[in-house]
Amino acid sequence: MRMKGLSLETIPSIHVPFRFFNTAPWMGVLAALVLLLEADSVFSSSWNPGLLAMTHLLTLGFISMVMLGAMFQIVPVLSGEMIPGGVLVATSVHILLCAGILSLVVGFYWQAYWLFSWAIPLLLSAFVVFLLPLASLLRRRIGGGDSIYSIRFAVLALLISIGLGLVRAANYAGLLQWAGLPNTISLHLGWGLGGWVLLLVMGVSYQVIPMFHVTPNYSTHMAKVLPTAVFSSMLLLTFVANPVIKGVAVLVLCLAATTYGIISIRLLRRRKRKVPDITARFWHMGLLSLIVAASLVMIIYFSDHLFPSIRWREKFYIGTGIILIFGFAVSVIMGMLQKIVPFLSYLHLQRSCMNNFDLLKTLPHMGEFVPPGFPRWQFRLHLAALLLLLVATVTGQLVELCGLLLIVDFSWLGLTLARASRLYLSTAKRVALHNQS
Amino acid sequence: MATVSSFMQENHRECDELFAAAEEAVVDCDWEAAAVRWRDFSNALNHHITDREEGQLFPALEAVNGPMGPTMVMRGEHEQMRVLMTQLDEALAGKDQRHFLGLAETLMMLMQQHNMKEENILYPMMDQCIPNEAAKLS
Repeated sequence: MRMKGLSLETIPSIHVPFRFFNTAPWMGVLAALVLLLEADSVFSSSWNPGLLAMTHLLTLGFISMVMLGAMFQIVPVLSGEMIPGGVLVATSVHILLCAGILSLVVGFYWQAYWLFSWAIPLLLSAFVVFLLPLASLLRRRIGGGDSIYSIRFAVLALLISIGLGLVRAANYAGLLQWAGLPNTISLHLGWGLGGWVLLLVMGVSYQVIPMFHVTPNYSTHMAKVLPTAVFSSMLLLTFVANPVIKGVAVLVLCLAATTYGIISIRLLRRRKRKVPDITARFWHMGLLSLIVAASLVMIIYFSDHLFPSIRWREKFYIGTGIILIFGFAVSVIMGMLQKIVPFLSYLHLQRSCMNNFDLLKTLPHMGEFVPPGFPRWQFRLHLAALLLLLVATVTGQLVELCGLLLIVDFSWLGLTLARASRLYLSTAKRVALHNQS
Repeated sequence: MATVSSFMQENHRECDELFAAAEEAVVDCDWEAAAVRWRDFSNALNHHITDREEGQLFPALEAVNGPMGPTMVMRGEHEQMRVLMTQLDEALAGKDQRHFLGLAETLMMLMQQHNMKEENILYPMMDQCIPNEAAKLS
């Protein structure tokens, strides 16, 4: 391990993660608005422009927005080294990402595909500006153990997913006529959700589940085997044409996801902390969704011919996507945000007190940044929204109600985080005044 | 043979379990058990950070590598944990469940991010630079 340049106090400015965390819920609200406005047709086909707009608001606008913000935070803590570029890089990534997502989504929604010629350079720049400094750190031999092992794969998967997505977008915009790689959509989805999202959640959970919930550790062996299995399966699905090998790859991918889900749930059941913890419930919801989604993906791949009609097959595809995106990724992230935001608020305030112990004692604790009632309601709202989304997908009914519930779900999160951020700002002002006097 | 990493990581987990037991007693409003378990946790944490780290491992590492930023930062974080511990002592004495649980969650997160840095960075560094200290840990 390199020792030169290591610093254990390297945490980025609070504005870095907070700008991503505070933006994400409102992207979710926009997704809900699309659902509400397109209630008649949104679940009619997986190619519906409204559904594509909604999906990208959730995957890029909510999931990736939070994940990028979290990476700026967790990589320095795990490795002891800052991501080069600091606030400037984070601010640029945030602005480019927001502009890129909005032009992509507006392009999908109004089928104004010319807008993709704006979205492509914006999103490309956002991810290049994010990935270049991060890659320069990750390719070095740094600390961080099993988490960094999985995070490296996640970053590669993100790169591939973004590349494939941009190729598709260029096709839509008429900028590129390239049929070099078949199944770009399935691969874009696979690398995005099965690669980037699953691998990053895995990497982060190796640290946070044992530590925050006081459970036994993940076995080091499994912590390496699972991400390797996921990444290798995706590589085989991308580059091998043999149907038998592809079938085996799908099986390995889904079994790795299921095994990860089962191991994590068993660890959470053995948690020593008995204090009611909504984040642990969100983990349960997310992991159960992952296990269900993995089974559904296997059904789709191996029994596609058994669907009675194309309409039912489409419903099944959309339902699987909802369970994976909204049930797994969004749930896990919602749970984590409600722990991370109050903690980072406290941590940064504590540092600004400069060992003035009397001042330290006046800081709000985590339960004051996010009072326990807020996450409890968040969980109820989110569970209800997930169940209603599935009912709406299958029956085609209650879609408007579903849209309204989603607006409340994401707004509740947005307001909870904004409330915590406001309390942070007012306390930071008080501490600064005290330090000056 | 145990390394500094394996011994100290195991000790982190033991402290976590004592912490969880005390927290559970407060959730159940069993204030007598909470007082006993909280004392057990306080003693274990104090032994870990004051005796083992600040008393033995940090000076040993500094003797090999010279005065170091990372150990200074860890000492500072220990001080911040001690402040929270005194606040928790007060909340426990006042049987203020809500305040105790809010502070306990804060201490838990603070300890865990502190442990994350030690387990990923500082202890592996000690395994390399001062491996013989492992035998002296008790």
